Amino acid sequence: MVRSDGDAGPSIEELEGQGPRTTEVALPRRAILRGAGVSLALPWLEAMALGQESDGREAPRRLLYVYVPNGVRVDEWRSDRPEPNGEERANGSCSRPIETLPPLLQPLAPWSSRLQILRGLAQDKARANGDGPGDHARAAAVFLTGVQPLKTEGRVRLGISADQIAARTVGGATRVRSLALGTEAGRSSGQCDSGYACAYSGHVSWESETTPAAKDVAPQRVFDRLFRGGDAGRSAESRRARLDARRSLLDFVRDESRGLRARLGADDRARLDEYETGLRELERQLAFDGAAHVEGVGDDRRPAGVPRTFREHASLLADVLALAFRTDSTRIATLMFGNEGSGRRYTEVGVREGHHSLSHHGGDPEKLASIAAINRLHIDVFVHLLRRLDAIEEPGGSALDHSMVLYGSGIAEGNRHDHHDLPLVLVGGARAGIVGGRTISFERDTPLNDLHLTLLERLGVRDVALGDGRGPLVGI
Amino acid sequence: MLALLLVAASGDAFDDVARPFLDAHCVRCHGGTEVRSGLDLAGTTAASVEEDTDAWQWLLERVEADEMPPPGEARPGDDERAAFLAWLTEALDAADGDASKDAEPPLAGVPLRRLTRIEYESAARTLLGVEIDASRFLPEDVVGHGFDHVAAAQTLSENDFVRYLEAAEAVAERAVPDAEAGPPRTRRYGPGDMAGGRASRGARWLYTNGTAGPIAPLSRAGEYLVRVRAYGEQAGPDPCRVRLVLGDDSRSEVFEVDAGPGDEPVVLEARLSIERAGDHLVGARFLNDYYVPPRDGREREDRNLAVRSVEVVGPLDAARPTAFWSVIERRLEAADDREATLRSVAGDLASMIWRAPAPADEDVDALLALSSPNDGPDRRVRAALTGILASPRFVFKEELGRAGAPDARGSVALSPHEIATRLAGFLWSSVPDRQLLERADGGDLDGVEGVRRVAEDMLADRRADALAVGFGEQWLQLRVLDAKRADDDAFPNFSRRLVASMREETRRVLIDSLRERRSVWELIEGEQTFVDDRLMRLYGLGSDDVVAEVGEGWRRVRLDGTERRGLLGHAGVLFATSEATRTSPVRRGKWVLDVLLGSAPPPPPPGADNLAESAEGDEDLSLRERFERHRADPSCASCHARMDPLGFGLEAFDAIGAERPPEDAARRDVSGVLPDGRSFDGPVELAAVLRGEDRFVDAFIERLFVYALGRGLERADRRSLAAIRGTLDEDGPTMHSAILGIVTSPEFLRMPREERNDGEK
Repeated sequence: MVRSDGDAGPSIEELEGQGPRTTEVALPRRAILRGAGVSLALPWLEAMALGQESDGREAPRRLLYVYVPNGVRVDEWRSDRPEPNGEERANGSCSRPIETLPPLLQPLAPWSSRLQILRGLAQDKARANGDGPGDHARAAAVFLTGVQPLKTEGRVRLGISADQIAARTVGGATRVRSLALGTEAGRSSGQCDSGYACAYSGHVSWESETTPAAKDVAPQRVFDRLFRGGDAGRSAESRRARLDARRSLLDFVRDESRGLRARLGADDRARLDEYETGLRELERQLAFDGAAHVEGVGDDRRPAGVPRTFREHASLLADVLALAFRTDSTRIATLMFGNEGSGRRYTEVGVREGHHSLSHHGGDPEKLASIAAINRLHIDVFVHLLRRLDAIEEPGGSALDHSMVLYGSGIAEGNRHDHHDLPLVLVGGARAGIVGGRTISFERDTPLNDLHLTLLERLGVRDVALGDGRGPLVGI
Repeated sequence: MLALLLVAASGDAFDDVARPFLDAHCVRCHGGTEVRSGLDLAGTTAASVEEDTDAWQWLLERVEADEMPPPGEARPGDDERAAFLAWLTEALDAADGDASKDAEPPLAGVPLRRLTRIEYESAARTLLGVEIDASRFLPEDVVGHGFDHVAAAQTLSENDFVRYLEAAEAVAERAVPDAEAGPPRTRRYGPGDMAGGRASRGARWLYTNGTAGPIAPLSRAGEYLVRVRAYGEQAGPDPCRVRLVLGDDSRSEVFEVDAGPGDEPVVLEARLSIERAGDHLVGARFLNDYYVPPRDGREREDRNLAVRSVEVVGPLDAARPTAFWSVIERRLEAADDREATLRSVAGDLASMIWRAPAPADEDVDALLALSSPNDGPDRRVRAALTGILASPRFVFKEELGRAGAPDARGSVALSPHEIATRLAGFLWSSVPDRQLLERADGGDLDGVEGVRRVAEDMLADRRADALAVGFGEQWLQLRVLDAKRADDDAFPNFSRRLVASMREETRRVLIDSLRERRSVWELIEGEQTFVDDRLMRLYGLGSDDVVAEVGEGWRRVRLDGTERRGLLGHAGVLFATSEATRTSPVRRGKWVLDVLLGSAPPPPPPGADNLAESAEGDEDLSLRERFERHRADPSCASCHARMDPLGFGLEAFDAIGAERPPEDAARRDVSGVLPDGRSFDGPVELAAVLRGEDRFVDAFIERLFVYALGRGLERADRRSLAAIRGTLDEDGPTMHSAILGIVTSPEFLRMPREERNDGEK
């Protein structure tokens, strides 16, 4: 289904026809699956499963964002060595080969030729810009949107995020458009940072300017959503019976909603839109259900409970995520290692004080050591995720080669709350044209959104507007 | 985005009053080259107000609240400000009334709302006899305008839509159990699946008395076998003692668990039963926690229980029909024409659950088409019920209004069912039950007097406690207590149970205020409250202070010998507005302004809040010195001069609400002077000062009005609010009469007749 003809990515039209969110592409796909009658659902693997050559089929490209809260120790993130002269580019950016990874990124050494350290990118809308304190809430909210959040404890207003733009386009090719994962629950209510609603600090992924994407923290729930249609613990037979019942139920609800819409006034019709979007999305998903890959992932892979330590919890989420990519259940995901401003106590690495209060270290050596330990733990789990992705062999390379994975924070140095020269590392994506092994420095205050637009372009999503983004960057 | 259009017009008042004010205080940031918040006031004229009344209303409120010009900017003179506000109010009134003063503003409507979790839960319980934990199914209710059921704040992630289907399926499965339930099922749970205690070392650990176990979704009432594997850390004279529980049923024997951490866990079994299908806590209750801190060189002694796993097997008995299903089954069995009866059952259920008249034939057709005619009656009813519950007609509170020509405010009356739905949501946090719908059908809700009578009956029902709690806790901003902790070292007496007692005190006081029709002024200066043992100790009360025992370990007590008065003496309020280790006079003062007087001070200007925080927390400074810090900076002073003295008056209480001893340094000076010159010394005098603030009653009615309608206040509501205020007893306004005033107001009983636009947008 997804073809690669050289460097050009698949076009959106190819993936799902025109228009946002709704797509009919799923139906023929299901027919293909049933027709093929194989236990592997991946169209690009079908040929292989049937013992044929891959005949030029390429695995799909994916996009994954990993968000870390409270910034990092920039002295450990950035290399303190004098850097070799790089190649100046016309647009003012400068690309240098990586000779030695900075201390914090050392564990990424196995992928040093397949990653880019990005310098000089900023999220201007995370700054106060007249709105007063609340850097943490803004940092997360803005990370993938580039839109100044409305300062409110009530109804929020932000903008669609980069991953959700991808979700409503390329996401249409898979059963689940995108995953929003995290280790700490995102609350939609309440005040979390200086008058900003909790929705801001707990969500990097936003479906629309008012609705954060529902974030899952329980690995089991994610698994069930991906592979069990929410019907875990039932036999495959009763799941199929339920699936059929659900299809007719959805038909009924769609008719009911249509009836309600006809009775409502114009304002209330607009209020029904989100509900109907969800309805259509579920219909789209159900078109995939019953497909082999949903049934094909065994119960032995189903995680139990929510582990207590960060390492176990985040690693388990990473495992499910890798499984989702491997089975092509989704291609787009965000993973928040913590909510922005998180006060998690990482006792597993001997840190007793809360992360946020430590991040305001004021130069205290003990606190700096604790922050380093937390940063290192985060990188370790990231390494776990990269290993998982890299272990998935696909035509043309590993799943990591087909995935653009951006790891970083909306705050650079936690003690200063600065939002320029953000700590960002882009790993993988060789098959999407990402040329690794380089540190790329952009002009100061280049919008991070330009990078998002670049990654979206590599997914095949072109000519979209995203917050304060100006256009794709050259030379990524 | 506000766009105030340039319209050439004249207007003497505008030129004399408004233009100079706008030029002097606004346009530097909101006009010309800089247009902050998209507000451009540079080219405005007298006619601009009519162009966009909402924008000017917003501006009026900002200036009224002293939020604009912002702190740090030169404040307008009092006369200048008053003249501007008077002009703007008049201009807005004129714009509303289409220049004629008698014309009433159009009625503001309530946007389409979804049921909240609590309403959904309550609907399942009252209509179908099914208990569910809606928080496991439905997305979180977002707070807007201070309440969690406000339409404007309701959003739905596309991934959450499915939750409404799952909830419908779960409720229907529990209401109509499968007649051919297969063999008993075994459900196994590990420590990660459990609630209570903490997961550690491969088990769920209880370090205090309490229950550890999973919440099991049990789709049928009946008997279950509960099997628990447990061991303990043994200490003290006895082994760990445990009882097994399933939902409300804890009639198991008391087991002794003598296995230690290294031993094979002990297997405990009991047969327990539940009366209702639903989500039930099942597990082990630890009964005899034991702890002796380390002393005299001896190690601490600590008895803890570890629950390794929990299994639930069942149901063991034959399918036990639910009350709901028994009624329907009898009806179907007695019927000659099974299919016709099935149709009428589906129609009745739809009418009840959709809060609507009998559905059309084709609706019933569609419901019955959800199952096959060859299915058994249980399957057919279950499928229809699933459809009814999944329909947006249940999930959304649809309002169409009655037919007829709109009145002068462009509004028509709501239908009786719609009024019943609004009443049930407001007064019971629920949906109408069968009885209320019957009263609606019987004409009881036709006319204002009828509504009043029905509302009085509903308020007499215990379900109205939901109003005191749902409204009260959100109004008083006490939900923050969910996640709030005090520092263990600073407050050794603090515990989660104490917080539960705090919340219960406020609940009881509000329920009492509603039921006994007490004056709302008692919430300010009341000299009685409700306490349990824990609060009695915290408040330093003795048996002499007890007025009456009210059951469940609670008693009504007299407070006249103490510094406590009204809500400001409630430990919950005092704790909710404190930091973990200390009090915060600023937050307490802000709470009084925001909650009690409905005039929240604006957030601090950029960079200023940290100064205030650090000054407040600096132990080396005296209270007075800290206050002076705020005063020294003019950008802080305008608000802190209002907030801080109120907070200082409450310094008689510590962060968890205990009265400080007289020798406590913070207690030495609890006096304050408000900007208008009124002064007080201590909480009792502060309560007396607040008793003089008439604004409290207005603010209370406004919050109740927002809660009742589930939308923010609009300008057009002002007349109704004034009218409601006018119906209250001047000396003893009660929550009860305010509620009756609200439910009989046009805003509650009517809706705007929108010009229909039948083309799809």
